[in-house]
Amino acid sequence: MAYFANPIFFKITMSKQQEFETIYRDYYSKVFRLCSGYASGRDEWATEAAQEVFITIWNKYDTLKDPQALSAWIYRIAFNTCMKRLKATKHQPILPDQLPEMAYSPEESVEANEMIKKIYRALDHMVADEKNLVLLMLEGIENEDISEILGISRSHLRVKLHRTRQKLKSLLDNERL
Amino acid sequence: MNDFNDIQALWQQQSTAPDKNVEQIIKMAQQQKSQSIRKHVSGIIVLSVTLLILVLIWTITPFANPVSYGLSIMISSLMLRILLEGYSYNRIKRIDIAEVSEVYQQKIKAFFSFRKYLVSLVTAITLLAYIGGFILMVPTFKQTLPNWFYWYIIVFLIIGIPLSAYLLFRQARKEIKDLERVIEKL
Repeated sequence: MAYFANPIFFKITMSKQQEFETIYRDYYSKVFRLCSGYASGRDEWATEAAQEVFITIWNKYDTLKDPQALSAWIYRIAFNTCMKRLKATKHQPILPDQLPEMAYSPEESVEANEMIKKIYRALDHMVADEKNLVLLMLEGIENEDISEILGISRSHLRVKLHRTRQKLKSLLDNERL
Repeated sequence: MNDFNDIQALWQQQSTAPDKNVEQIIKMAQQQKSQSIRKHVSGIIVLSVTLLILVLIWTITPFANPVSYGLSIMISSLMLRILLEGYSYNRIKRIDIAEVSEVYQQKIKAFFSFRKYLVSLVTAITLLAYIGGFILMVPTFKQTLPNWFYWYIIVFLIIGIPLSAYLLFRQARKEIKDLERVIEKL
Protein backbone atom coordinates (compact mmCIF):
# COMPACT_ATOMS: atom_id res chain seq x y z
CA MET A 1 0.00 0.00 0.00
CA ALA A 2 3.03 2.29 0.36
CA TYR A 3 2.82 3.46 -3.24
CA PHE A 4 -0.53 5.08 -2.50
CA ALA A 5 1.38 7.57 -0.38
CA ASN A 6 3.67 8.35 -3.31
CA PRO A 7 2.67 11.81 -4.54
CA ILE A 8 3.50 10.90 -8.16
CA PHE A 9 1.16 7.93 -8.12
CA PHE A 10 -1.37 10.14 -6.34
CA LYS A 11 -1.08 12.81 -9.04
CA ILE A 12 -1.49 10.45 -12.00
CA THR A 13 -4.41 8.39 -10.78
CA MET A 14 -6.72 10.94 -9.15
CA SER A 15 -8.77 13.79 -10.53
CA LYS A 16 -8.32 17.28 -9.10
CA GLN A 17 -11.51 16.94 -7.07
CA GLN A 18 -10.51 13.54 -5.67
CA GLU A 19 -7.08 14.89 -4.76
CA PHE A 20 -8.71 17.88 -3.09
CA GLU A 21 -11.06 15.63 -1.13
CA THR A 22 -8.08 13.70 0.20
CA ILE A 23 -6.25 16.91 1.11
CA TYR A 24 -9.35 18.34 2.78
CA ARG A 25 -9.83 15.20 4.84
CA ASP A 26 -6.16 14.82 5.79
CA TYR A 27 -5.31 18.43 6.49
CA TYR A 28 -8.49 20.07 7.79
CA SER A 29 -7.76 19.51 11.49
CA LYS A 30 -4.10 20.51 11.10
CA VAL A 31 -4.97 23.70 9.25
CA PHE A 32 -7.77 24.44 11.70
CA ARG A 33 -5.42 24.10 14.71
CA LEU A 34 -2.88 26.33 13.02
CA CYS A 35 -5.52 28.98 12.34
CA SER A 36 -6.78 28.55 15.87
CA GLY A 37 -3.29 29.32 17.15
CA TYR A 38 -3.45 32.59 15.25
CA ALA A 39 -6.94 33.33 16.49
CA SER A 40 -6.26 32.89 20.23
CA GLY A 41 -8.53 29.88 20.07
CA ARG A 42 -11.50 31.71 18.58
CA ASP A 43 -13.43 28.94 16.88
CA GLU A 44 -15.38 31.07 14.41
CA TRP A 45 -12.33 32.99 13.21
CA ALA A 46 -10.32 29.78 12.83
CA THR A 47 -13.16 28.09 10.90
CA GLU A 48 -13.40 30.99 8.46
CA ALA A 49 -9.62 31.19 8.06
CA ALA A 50 -9.35 27.41 7.49
CA GLN A 51 -12.14 27.69 4.91
CA GLU A 52 -10.22 30.45 3.14
CA VAL A 53 -7.07 28.31 3.17
CA PHE A 54 -8.88 25.47 1.39
CA ILE A 55 -10.48 27.87 -1.09
CA THR A 56 -6.96 29.09 -1.94
CA ILE A 57 -5.68 25.52 -2.16
CA TRP A 58 -8.40 24.69 -4.71
CA ASN A 59 -7.82 27.85 -6.73
CA LYS A 60 -4.02 27.56 -6.70
CA TYR A 61 -3.68 23.79 -6.89
CA ASP A 62 -2.49 23.87 -10.50
CA THR A 63 0.44 26.07 -9.47
CA LEU A 64 1.84 23.42 -7.10
CA LYS A 65 4.98 22.41 -8.97
CA ASP A 66 6.30 19.67 -6.70
CA PRO A 67 3.69 17.27 -5.26
CA GLN A 68 6.33 16.09 -2.75
CA ALA A 69 6.20 19.58 -1.24
CA LEU A 70 2.42 19.51 -0.78
CA SER A 71 2.57 19.67 3.00
CA ALA A 72 4.97 22.64 3.08
CA TRP A 73 2.85 24.35 0.42
CA ILE A 74 -0.33 23.97 2.49
CA TYR A 75 1.30 25.21 5.70
CA ARG A 76 2.72 28.26 3.95
CA ILE A 77 -0.69 29.11 2.50
CA ALA A 78 -2.20 28.67 5.96
CA PHE A 79 0.36 30.97 7.63
CA ASN A 80 0.03 33.66 4.98
CA THR A 81 -3.77 33.47 5.01
CA CYS A 82 -3.87 33.81 8.79
CA MET A 83 -1.47 36.75 8.81
CA LYS A 84 -3.41 38.45 6.03
CA ARG A 85 -6.72 37.96 7.84
CA LEU A 86 -5.30 39.03 11.16
CA LYS A 87 -4.09 42.28 9.65
CA ALA A 88 -7.43 42.97 8.07
CA THR A 89 -9.37 42.43 11.31
CA LYS A 90 -9.06 43.79 14.79
CA HIS A 91 -7.62 41.37 17.31
CA GLN A 92 -10.07 40.17 19.94
CA PRO A 93 -9.24 38.53 23.25
CA ILE A 94 -9.73 34.83 23.84
CA LEU A 95 -13.16 33.68 24.98
CA PRO A 96 -13.06 30.47 27.06
CA ASP A 97 -16.33 29.08 25.74
CA GLN A 98 -15.08 29.26 22.16
CA LEU A 99 -12.36 26.66 22.49
CA PRO A 100 -12.63 23.54 20.31
CA GLU A 101 -14.06 20.34 21.84
CA MET A 102 -11.55 18.01 23.51
CA ALA A 103 -11.81 14.22 23.80
CA TYR A 104 -11.34 14.01 27.59
CA SER A 105 -13.29 13.04 30.68
CA PRO A 106 -14.84 16.01 32.56
CA GLU A 107 -12.06 16.00 35.23
CA GLU A 108 -9.27 15.74 32.67
CA SER A 109 -11.06 18.21 30.49
CA VAL A 110 -10.82 21.04 33.03
CA GLU A 111 -7.05 20.66 33.30
CA ALA A 112 -6.61 20.07 29.58
CA ASN A 113 -8.73 23.08 28.64
CA GLU A 114 -6.83 25.24 31.10
CA MET A 115 -3.53 24.19 29.54
CA ILE A 116 -4.84 24.73 26.01
CA LYS A 117 -5.98 28.24 26.99
CA LYS A 118 -2.53 28.84 28.42
CA ILE A 119 -0.93 27.74 25.15
CA TYR A 120 -3.12 30.21 23.26
CA ARG A 121 -2.19 32.98 25.67
CA ALA A 122 1.48 32.07 25.29
CA LEU A 123 1.09 32.22 21.49
CA ASP A 124 -0.42 35.67 21.88
CA HIS A 125 2.84 36.78 23.50
CA MET A 126 4.94 35.67 20.56
CA VAL A 127 5.93 37.43 17.36
CA ALA A 128 4.82 35.92 14.04
CA ASP A 129 7.90 33.80 13.30
CA GLU A 130 8.03 32.38 16.84
CA LYS A 131 4.32 31.63 16.62
CA ASN A 132 4.79 29.86 13.26
CA LEU A 133 7.58 27.79 14.72
CA VAL A 134 5.63 26.79 17.83
CA LEU A 135 2.56 25.86 15.78
CA LEU A 136 4.66 23.62 13.52
CA MET A 137 6.40 22.04 16.54
CA LEU A 138 3.04 21.39 18.16
CA GLU A 139 1.90 19.63 14.99
CA GLY A 140 4.97 17.40 15.25
CA ILE A 141 6.44 18.49 11.90
CA GLU A 142 10.00 17.27 11.26
CA ASN A 143 12.77 19.88 11.45
CA GLU A 144 13.67 19.31 7.80
CA ASP A 145 10.11 20.18 6.78
CA ILE A 146 9.95 23.14 9.17
CA SER A 147 13.04 24.67 7.56
CA GLU A 148 11.42 24.24 4.13
CA ILE A 149 8.10 25.74 5.27
CA LEU A 150 9.71 28.73 6.95
CA GLY A 151 12.48 29.13 4.38
CA ILE A 152 15.32 29.11 6.90
CA SER A 153 18.53 27.06 7.01
CA ARG A 154 18.71 24.04 9.31
CA SER A 155 21.48 25.55 11.42
CA HIS A 156 19.46 28.74 11.88
CA LEU A 157 16.40 26.65 12.63
CA ARG A 158 18.20 24.75 15.40
CA VAL A 159 19.06 28.04 17.12
CA LYS A 160 15.53 29.37 16.69
CA LEU A 161 13.97 26.13 17.90
CA HIS A 162 16.05 26.22 21.04
CA ARG A 163 15.19 29.87 21.81
CA THR A 164 11.51 29.45 20.98
CA ARG A 165 11.16 26.32 23.12
CA GLN A 166 12.75 28.22 26.01
CA LYS A 167 10.38 31.12 25.52
CA LEU A 168 7.36 28.82 25.32
CA LYS A 169 8.47 27.02 28.46
CA SER A 170 8.98 30.22 30.42
CA LEU A 171 5.61 31.53 29.29
CA LEU A 172 3.84 28.31 30.25
CA ASP A 173 5.66 28.23 33.60
CA ASN A 174 4.54 31.75 34.32
CA GLU A 175 1.76 31.51 36.89
CA ARG A 176 0.37 34.90 35.94
CA LEU A 177 -0.11 34.06 32.25
CA MET B 1 1.88 18.87 32.05
CA ASN B 2 4.56 21.33 30.92
CA ASP B 3 6.59 18.60 29.24
CA PHE B 4 6.67 19.43 25.54
CA ASN B 5 5.49 15.98 24.42
CA ASP B 6 2.45 16.22 26.69
CA ILE B 7 1.66 19.69 25.40
CA GLN B 8 2.05 18.46 21.85
CA ALA B 9 -0.27 15.50 22.45
CA LEU B 10 -2.81 17.78 24.09
CA TRP B 11 -2.63 20.24 21.22
CA GLN B 12 -3.21 17.54 18.65
CA GLN B 13 -6.27 16.29 20.55
CA GLN B 14 -8.12 19.38 19.38
CA SER B 15 -10.11 18.38 16.38
CA THR B 16 -13.02 20.00 14.65
CA ALA B 17 -15.03 18.59 11.80
CA PRO B 18 -15.29 20.96 8.83
CA ASP B 19 -18.62 22.77 8.71
CA LYS B 20 -18.62 22.68 4.90
CA ASN B 21 -18.20 19.74 2.58
CA VAL B 22 -15.81 19.58 -0.36
CA GLU B 23 -18.45 20.54 -2.94
CA GLN B 24 -19.38 23.66 -0.95
CA ILE B 25 -15.71 24.69 -0.69
CA ILE B 26 -15.19 24.18 -4.44
CA LYS B 27 -18.32 26.21 -5.21
CA MET B 28 -17.14 29.02 -2.92
CA ALA B 29 -13.69 28.92 -4.52
CA GLN B 30 -15.16 29.25 -8.00
CA GLN B 31 -17.40 32.13 -6.92
CA GLN B 32 -14.53 33.90 -5.20
CA LYS B 33 -12.31 33.56 -8.27
CA SER B 34 -14.89 35.02 -10.65
CA GLN B 35 -15.77 37.81 -8.18
CA SER B 36 -12.12 38.75 -7.82
CA ILE B 37 -11.62 38.90 -11.61
CA ARG B 38 -14.84 40.91 -12.02
CA LYS B 39 -13.81 43.37 -9.30
CA HIS B 40 -10.38 44.04 -10.80
CA VAL B 41 -11.30 43.96 -14.45
CA SER B 42 -14.61 45.89 -14.28
CA GLY B 43 -12.86 49.17 -13.39
CA ILE B 44 -10.36 48.71 -16.21
CA ILE B 45 -13.19 47.94 -18.67
CA VAL B 46 -15.17 51.09 -17.72
CA LEU B 47 -12.03 53.24 -18.11
CA SER B 48 -11.16 51.53 -21.41
CA VAL B 49 -14.64 52.11 -22.88
CA THR B 50 -14.42 55.81 -21.91
CA LEU B 51 -10.96 55.97 -23.47
CA LEU B 52 -12.22 54.37 -26.67
CA ILE B 53 -15.06 56.92 -26.97
CA LEU B 54 -12.63 59.81 -26.39
CA VAL B 55 -10.19 58.42 -28.97
CA LEU B 56 -13.03 58.13 -31.52
CA ILE B 57 -14.01 61.77 -30.92
CA TRP B 58 -10.35 62.79 -31.06
CA THR B 59 -9.87 61.16 -34.49
CA ILE B 60 -12.75 63.18 -36.00
CA THR B 61 -11.64 66.43 -34.34
CA PRO B 62 -9.40 68.82 -36.34
CA PHE B 63 -5.85 68.90 -35.03
CA ALA B 64 -4.21 71.78 -33.21
CA ASN B 65 -7.28 73.36 -31.67
CA PRO B 66 -8.43 73.61 -28.01
CA VAL B 67 -10.73 70.57 -28.38
CA SER B 68 -8.00 68.27 -29.66
CA TYR B 69 -5.61 69.57 -26.96
CA GLY B 70 -8.23 69.03 -24.28
CA LEU B 71 -9.06 65.56 -25.58
CA SER B 72 -5.36 64.68 -25.77
CA ILE B 73 -4.88 65.58 -22.10
CA MET B 74 -7.99 63.59 -21.10
CA ILE B 75 -6.87 60.58 -23.18
CA SER B 76 -3.36 60.70 -21.74
CA SER B 77 -4.57 60.83 -18.15
CA LEU B 78 -7.00 57.96 -18.77
CA MET B 79 -4.32 55.89 -20.50
CA LEU B 80 -1.93 56.44 -17.61
CA ARG B 81 -4.58 55.33 -15.15
CA ILE B 82 -5.51 52.23 -17.19
CA LEU B 83 -1.85 51.21 -17.58
CA LEU B 84 -1.21 51.60 -13.87
CA GLU B 85 -4.40 49.71 -12.94
CA GLY B 86 -3.40 46.92 -15.34
CA TYR B 87 0.09 46.83 -13.85
CA SER B 88 -1.39 46.79 -10.34
CA TYR B 89 -3.70 43.85 -11.22
CA ASN B 90 -0.84 41.94 -12.80
CA ARG B 91 1.45 42.62 -9.84
CA ILE B 92 -1.03 41.35 -7.21
CA LYS B 93 -1.74 38.29 -9.36
CA ARG B 94 1.96 37.43 -9.42
CA ILE B 95 2.28 37.45 -5.62
CA ASP B 96 2.24 33.80 -4.61
CA ILE B 97 0.44 33.14 -1.32
CA ALA B 98 2.37 29.86 -1.01
CA GLU B 99 5.69 31.71 -0.69
CA VAL B 100 7.75 31.66 2.47
CA SER B 101 5.93 33.99 4.90
CA GLU B 102 8.70 36.57 5.17
CA VAL B 103 8.96 36.95 1.38
CA TYR B 104 5.18 37.05 1.02
CA GLN B 105 4.90 39.77 3.68
CA GLN B 106 7.56 41.87 1.95
CA LYS B 107 5.86 41.57 -1.43
CA ILE B 108 2.43 42.41 0.00
CA LYS B 109 3.86 45.39 1.84
CA ALA B 110 5.57 46.67 -1.33
CA PHE B 111 2.35 46.16 -3.28
CA PHE B 112 0.23 48.04 -0.73
CA SER B 113 2.72 50.92 -0.69
CA PHE B 114 2.50 51.08 -4.49
CA ARG B 115 -1.31 50.88 -4.32
CA LYS B 116 -1.37 53.70 -1.77
CA TYR B 117 0.70 55.85 -4.10
CA LEU B 118 -1.54 54.92 -7.03
CA VAL B 119 -4.77 55.65 -5.16
CA SER B 120 -3.63 58.96 -3.68
CA LEU B 121 -1.18 60.79 -5.92
CA VAL B 122 -1.96 59.25 -9.30
CA THR B 123 -5.73 59.56 -8.76
CA ALA B 124 -5.36 63.24 -7.93
CA ILE B 125 -3.06 63.98 -10.89
CA THR B 126 -5.14 62.07 -13.45
CA LEU B 127 -8.38 63.62 -12.20
CA LEU B 128 -6.95 67.13 -12.33
CA ALA B 129 -5.54 66.50 -15.83
CA TYR B 130 -8.91 65.09 -16.91
CA ILE B 131 -10.80 68.13 -15.58
CA GLY B 132 -8.15 70.48 -17.04
CA GLY B 133 -8.54 68.87 -20.47
CA PHE B 134 -12.32 69.25 -20.27
CA ILE B 135 -12.09 72.92 -19.22
CA LEU B 136 -9.79 73.60 -22.22
CA MET B 137 -12.66 72.63 -24.51
CA VAL B 138 -15.27 74.88 -22.87
CA PRO B 139 -14.61 78.04 -25.02
CA THR B 140 -15.03 75.96 -28.18
CA PHE B 141 -18.26 74.49 -26.80
CA LYS B 142 -19.56 78.05 -26.30
CA GLN B 143 -18.85 78.95 -29.91
CA THR B 144 -20.10 75.76 -31.55
CA LEU B 145 -22.81 74.22 -29.39
CA PRO B 146 -26.42 75.38 -28.89
CA ASN B 147 -26.75 77.72 -25.93
CA TRP B 148 -28.82 75.29 -23.83
CA PHE B 149 -26.26 72.51 -24.30
CA TYR B 150 -23.41 74.83 -23.43
CA TRP B 151 -25.16 75.75 -20.16
CA TYR B 152 -25.88 72.09 -19.51
CA ILE B 153 -22.12 71.49 -19.74
CA ILE B 154 -21.37 74.43 -17.41
CA VAL B 155 -23.87 73.18 -14.84
CA PHE B 156 -22.32 69.70 -15.14
CA LEU B 157 -18.87 71.24 -14.60
CA ILE B 158 -20.02 73.16 -11.52
CA ILE B 159 -22.07 70.39 -9.91
CA GLY B 160 -21.12 67.08 -11.55
CA ILE B 161 -17.34 67.32 -11.46
CA PRO B 162 -16.98 68.37 -7.79
CA LEU B 163 -19.51 65.69 -6.85
CA SER B 164 -17.68 62.99 -8.86
CA ALA B 165 -14.34 64.19 -7.44
CA TYR B 166 -15.76 64.08 -3.91
CA LEU B 167 -17.05 60.51 -4.39
CA LEU B 168 -13.78 59.42 -5.98
CA PHE B 169 -11.68 60.93 -3.20
CA ARG B 170 -13.93 59.50 -0.51
CA GLN B 171 -13.44 56.05 -2.01
CA ALA B 172 -9.69 56.70 -2.34
CA ARG B 173 -9.45 57.88 1.28
CA LYS B 174 -11.20 54.72 2.47
CA GLU B 175 -8.82 52.52 0.47
CA ILE B 176 -5.79 54.48 1.74
CA LYS B 177 -6.99 54.11 5.33
CA ASP B 178 -7.36 50.34 4.88
CA LEU B 179 -3.94 50.13 3.21
CA GLU B 180 -2.29 52.19 5.94
CA ARG B 181 -3.75 49.95 8.62
CA VAL B 182 -2.39 46.84 6.89
CA ILE B 183 1.03 48.38 6.13
CA GLU B 184 1.35 49.49 9.76
CA LYS B 185 0.86 45.92 10.96
CA LEU B 186 3.29 44.39 8.44
